[in-house]
Amino acid sequence: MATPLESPITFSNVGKARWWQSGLFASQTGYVLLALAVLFVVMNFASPYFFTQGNMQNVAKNFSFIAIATLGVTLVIIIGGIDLSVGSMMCFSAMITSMVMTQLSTPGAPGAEWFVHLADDGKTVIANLPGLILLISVLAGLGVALIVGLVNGFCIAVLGLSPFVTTLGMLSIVRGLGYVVSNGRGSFPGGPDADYFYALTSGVVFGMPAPFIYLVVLAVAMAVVLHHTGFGRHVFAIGGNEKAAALTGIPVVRVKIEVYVICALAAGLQGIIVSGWLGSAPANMATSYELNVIAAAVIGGANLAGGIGGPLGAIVGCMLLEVIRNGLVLAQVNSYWQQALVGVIIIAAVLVDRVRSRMA
Amino acid sequence: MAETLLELAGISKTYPGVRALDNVSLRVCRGEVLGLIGENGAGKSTLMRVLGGVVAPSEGVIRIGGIDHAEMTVTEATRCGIAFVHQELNLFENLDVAANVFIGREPLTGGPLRLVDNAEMRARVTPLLQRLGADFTPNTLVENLSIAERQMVEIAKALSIDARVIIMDEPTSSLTISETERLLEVIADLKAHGISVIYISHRLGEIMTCADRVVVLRDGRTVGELARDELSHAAMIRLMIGRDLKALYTPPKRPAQPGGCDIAGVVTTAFPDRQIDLSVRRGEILGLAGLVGAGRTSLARAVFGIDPLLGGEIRIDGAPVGVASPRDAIRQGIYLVPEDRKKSGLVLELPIRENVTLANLLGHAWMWLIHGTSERKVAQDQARRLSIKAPSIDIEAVTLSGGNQQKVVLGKWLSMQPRVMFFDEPTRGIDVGAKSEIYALMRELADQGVAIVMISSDMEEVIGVSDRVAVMHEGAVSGVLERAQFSEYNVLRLAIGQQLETQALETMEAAAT
Repeated sequence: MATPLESPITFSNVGKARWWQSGLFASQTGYVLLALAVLFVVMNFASPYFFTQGNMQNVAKNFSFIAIATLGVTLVIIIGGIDLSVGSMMCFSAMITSMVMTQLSTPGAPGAEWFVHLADDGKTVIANLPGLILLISVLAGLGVALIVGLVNGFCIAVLGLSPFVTTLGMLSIVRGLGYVVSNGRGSFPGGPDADYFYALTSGVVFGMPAPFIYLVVLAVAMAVVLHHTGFGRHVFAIGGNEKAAALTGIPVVRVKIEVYVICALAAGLQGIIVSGWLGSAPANMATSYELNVIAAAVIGGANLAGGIGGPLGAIVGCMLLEVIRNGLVLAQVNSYWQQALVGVIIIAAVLVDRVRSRMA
Repeated sequence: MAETLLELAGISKTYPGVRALDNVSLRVCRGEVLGLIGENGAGKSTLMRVLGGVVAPSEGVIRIGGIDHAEMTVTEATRCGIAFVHQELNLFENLDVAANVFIGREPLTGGPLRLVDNAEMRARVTPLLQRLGADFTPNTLVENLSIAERQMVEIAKALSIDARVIIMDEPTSSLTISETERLLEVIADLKAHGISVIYISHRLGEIMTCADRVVVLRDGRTVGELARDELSHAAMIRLMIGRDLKALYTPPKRPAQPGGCDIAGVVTTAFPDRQIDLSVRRGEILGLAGLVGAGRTSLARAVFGIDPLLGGEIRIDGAPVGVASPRDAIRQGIYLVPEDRKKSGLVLELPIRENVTLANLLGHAWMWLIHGTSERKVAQDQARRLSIKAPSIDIEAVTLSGGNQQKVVLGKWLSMQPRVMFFDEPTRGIDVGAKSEIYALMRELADQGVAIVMISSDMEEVIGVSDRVAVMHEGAVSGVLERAQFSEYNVLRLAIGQQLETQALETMEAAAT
């Protein structure tokens, strides 16, 4: 039906992109991945200890301690938002989890009689159903994260408050609540299920730290959701052009709330895992971690303007930070340099991407 | 022949792999309005960027007042008296009018303190605004001004640097009919004061009104020049597209069917004390004309569920439908092709494929997972049907021309089942060839039984494409014209709230008897 043109259209001016100019290789994630590979090689020569199994496990475990939260924050960054409350969220969820666990495991405490009884010796506490306390306490920790995520999402998507201000406020609120419920002392996981808890959070499975396995599973799930489901498309569309997304019938408010909830849940889960490794949930746990998490996401290629990012980038960003930290330790550099270097890397990563897009 | 003020001689501009300008020559005389026309991508904007010093030409000479320049810088261009009134206005909304006019060259006072002399700025801007007939003051914040008023600020800025040539790139694309006339008057006044204007527009009617001479570009080359007495729509279109354009109007293949969309007593938030009654049959294209701000877009927003309905109801095929959100509207088969495709129609960073399927992802999903093959097929079909000119459906929408972007927006809706479609200024800023393709598509849709409402401020389009025209004035429908009654005069009378002459007569007769 369209008007025919005089001559067929050719696209000689549109250069055919080579394989290294498209996809992963043309993205910031690609460059950072390359930098990471180079760093691995350099470290291998610099320190014989670097590639030992012990050190690699250590590295994997350490970066897993921020990477799950980074996955969540990456999602928020893709929709063009930001979540500053993840550090506080980690602490609060961990605290609630260990407090619930301890509470339910104390014979005589209200409600505890359903879960534990005393052994015949009158001292040993025995669980009525092993693992049940752990399940409930983890759900409690995630439950508070869910609520915080809902509040964040409601304020941002429904009331239209700025994500920065909302989550900055939430950073303070959640941290404050943590101090209130624990009286500033922090809490310790205890009771008959504590051993399961430690096994699941700081154990080693098939030679790999448990948190690393959770991370891989969640990252794969996130990749599938982002690229192969309607929800994922909606997330990218909202980050790219929120107005057009709304006019296309995308439930913008719902998707935004869901994203903030997922982010809070990821932070909560991360906090619970970290507390298992620490053996406690101190009230100042994960203070200012939100900055590391956001830094890792940005280094990995998530664009704070929205619309760009992914789980691979999140992991690569966390990994780079951890390998550098580890490398500095092995090289016996004053560890105070680490923070300054992280800043340099953040700027360098976005600078490289900037230079690349100028050249293209 | 009047004194030549500016001359571009043999200008070429080559980008890697593409020759944007090929040996283009152009002359502007003192006090002349030069119309510059051509389809999108013909090189008009590049040529003007060369003149404005934004882009350096690969070959050729820019001759201003007899002095040759191989290339210009923005500062040099300004010093030579070349000023731009941009299509996307470059003003600082948070500053007032005076500050915008003098931005970057504020008069200073206080000696070494180098304070900005606000009083001096205001005193110098006031006469300029008076001359342009503007009814705002130098202290008005730009964010409170309409697009037409902002344009006046840009022109005032040009006058304040003693511009000799003012380049206007699509200045009327967002103006109402009366604002356009006002601008044309201002241009006539500038001309009377010896200032030249290079006027770039797709609206040939305006070019006919104001241009002394027209230069036509096609594919980066000058393909013709028309003197004032040679100007005609047909001549210009023939040069622009290198062929004759068929008459705009294609009659429907079959008469409008019963059913369609009834808008009954609808009250929108923009005009809470007015009711709108309007109906559009299946198979018909209803033009919706009126001045900008007459409530056409707010009507479309209300029907599409963006703004709440304050009253009345919307019926499709006689059955009332609830539209509390765009999602509801889409579910009912009411689709909106919005006015500003870049801001509201597309996600520019996403590929064509994902833009097309965005509204109907679940239609391509199995257990929430999107089925890539089915998605590609739908996007391919739409790209072919709409002849979207792109090397592949995987390239990002941002790289497409305006006409092709609009087709992607259309493809998004056509891949589903439309019943009622609202087109809000569907061809704004789109070149002539793509325009006629979009008209053809609208007709094809109507023939398939879709009820179409086309909001347009382009008079040629309203009269040329519609089967009936409804005209809005201050939030209500002031009249509906059948094809036999179509004329610019009739549309304008209704748009400014007057009755049609025949109606006026009848009323008088009725009163007399």
